[in-house]
Amino acid sequence: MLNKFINKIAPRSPWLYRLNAGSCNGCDVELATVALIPRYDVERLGCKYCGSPRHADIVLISGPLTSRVRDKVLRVYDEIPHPKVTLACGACPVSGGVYRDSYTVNSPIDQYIPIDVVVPGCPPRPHAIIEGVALALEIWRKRLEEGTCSRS
Amino acid sequence: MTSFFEATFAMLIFPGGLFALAAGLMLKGVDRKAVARLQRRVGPPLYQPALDVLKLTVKETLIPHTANELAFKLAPVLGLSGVLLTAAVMPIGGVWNGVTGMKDLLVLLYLLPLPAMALMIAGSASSSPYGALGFSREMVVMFAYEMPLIASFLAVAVRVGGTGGSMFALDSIINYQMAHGPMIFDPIMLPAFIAMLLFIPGTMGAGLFDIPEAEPEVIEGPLLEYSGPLLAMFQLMSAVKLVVVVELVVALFMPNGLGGNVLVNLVWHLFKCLALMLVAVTVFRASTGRLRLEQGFTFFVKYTSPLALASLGLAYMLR
Amino acid sequence: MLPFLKVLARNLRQGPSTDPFPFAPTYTPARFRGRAELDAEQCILCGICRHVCAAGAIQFRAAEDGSGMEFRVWHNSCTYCGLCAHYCPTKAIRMTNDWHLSHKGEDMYSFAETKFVKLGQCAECGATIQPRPAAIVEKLGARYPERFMLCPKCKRETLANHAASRKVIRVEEAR
Repeated sequence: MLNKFINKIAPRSPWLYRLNAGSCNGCDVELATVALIPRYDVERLGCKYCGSPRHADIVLISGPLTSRVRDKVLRVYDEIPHPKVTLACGACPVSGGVYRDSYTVNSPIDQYIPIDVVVPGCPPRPHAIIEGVALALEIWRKRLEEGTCSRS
Repeated sequence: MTSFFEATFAMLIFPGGLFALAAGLMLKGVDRKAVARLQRRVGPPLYQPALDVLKLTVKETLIPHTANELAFKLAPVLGLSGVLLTAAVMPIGGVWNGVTGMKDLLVLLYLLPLPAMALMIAGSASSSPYGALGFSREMVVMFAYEMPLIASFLAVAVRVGGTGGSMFALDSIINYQMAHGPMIFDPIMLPAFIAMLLFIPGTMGAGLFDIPEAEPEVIEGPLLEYSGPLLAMFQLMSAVKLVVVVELVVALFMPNGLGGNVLVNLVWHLFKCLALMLVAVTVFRASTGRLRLEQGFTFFVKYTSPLALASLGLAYMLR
Repeated sequence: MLPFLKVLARNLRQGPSTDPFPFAPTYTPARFRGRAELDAEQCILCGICRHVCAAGAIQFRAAEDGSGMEFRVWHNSCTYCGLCAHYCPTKAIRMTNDWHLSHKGEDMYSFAETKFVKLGQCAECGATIQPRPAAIVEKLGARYPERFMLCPKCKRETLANHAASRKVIRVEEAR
């Protein structure tokens, strides 16, 4: 009963964590814009950017997963407690974008990490990121109700 | 001396326990909303901190395998129970006079650093370099703000006067202010009040003094490795700590109620807490950046402590 | 003294400047470069879009029966630079201002604009040639529209016949 109640209200407090998988910083700038600029106030949805992966609920991954950061990204991803939702921000994590043919790039990222939401764009518009976060919240709600996590 | 029943009630329901938790979460919510408004944002709903805490209870708890598990798990318990105990002995002017006939000002002096101690234990137990950094920063900041805190306490106690034990009793301080008007209108005590106003953001880690838990620098320092219910306890601890320090300043400087009605006095007390928090925490959080560690330390040593000491000296001379 | 207090007071007075987006529609500039869209009727399969695409998002695949080509732009690789729309000779590719592109992870490989472009037919012999939409005929083939609709082989033949019939080249005089 109480658990059901918590599952119902938990998606109203998503904490976001930015995971830079070798991004060119374009997407990171847009993510910072979403967080900091009054015009795209993401705190309305209860979101908060947190510095530690241990506090995160929604992971915003940007970048094509370069070979250098691959192991670190996977390690940080494992540090995030379940239930979590992954949001791939921009073209790079899915396809590699303009870096697609490079020998240092390991995209698509879903060979390593399950991706739940994709926000295409290079970089995506702040509004589009907010829309993606809203979609991620729906997935998170469903996951909480079913008791599943991205590991299963 | 209070009876066992009264003490339990004070611990669990009012003014500690449930009341302190509810007030703390409400103050935190108002704080976040007000910061958002000051920055031209809409901000989260007022009950957002409560949602955060509830959400954290369904998250997985991860414990680093290099951490000292016992200390890691006990630190939030220590912190939360410490602040709840502090909230239980905190008097509310015109409503509840606290534990009577004790030297509770000295007790408070020992209880107030408990949340900081809990954070230190948490930081050092988590076996993370950022946790260790947060631990050392927390300790340095604590050393910095303890000085003006003690000086302000002494200034108030000396101003109230009294003999022996009653000098450090909170109820005698409140009774003095009921009789002579609040300390805040006392020109001698004004520097001490300003010092306490600066002590609140210092101990809450707001704005300028967000040194131990600086998110971009030491990624939330001691709290770095915490997740799930343990982090929720730290959130509650921080909320109750906010209530405690604000109530402390209210009790020391402006405990006067609005006549005899208990409910009116309670609302008036909450209003005072809210106003004090808006001035001392929200404005700092909305407008200032973070000082470096040694700048924060020097700030307290150079500006805040002399203010409190000036009050103490004046109060001592005009005794 | 304390100029930030003035700023804070001003902020309080002016109120929030937040866009109401997730709860209410927002403003989109008319020329915002969002999802690329192909009008299959206009495409002449010249392939310049694929050539200029920095992200390699545009692909053409021949249909198995040879009746046409499948045009595909994968939005998850597209960088929304608009070069394809800029270079398209018939303006068949257009950057719409639709940016509502977030989608679930399971759809990420199929999240593409797929259009089937039918190949044209030579008016004379029926061989497959590049499509000849009306717009491109008006633009490039305005002088000899009927010749423009032919395959290269038939075009050569008609040209040769035309030249012979008009006696444009007089072999003896040229010598």
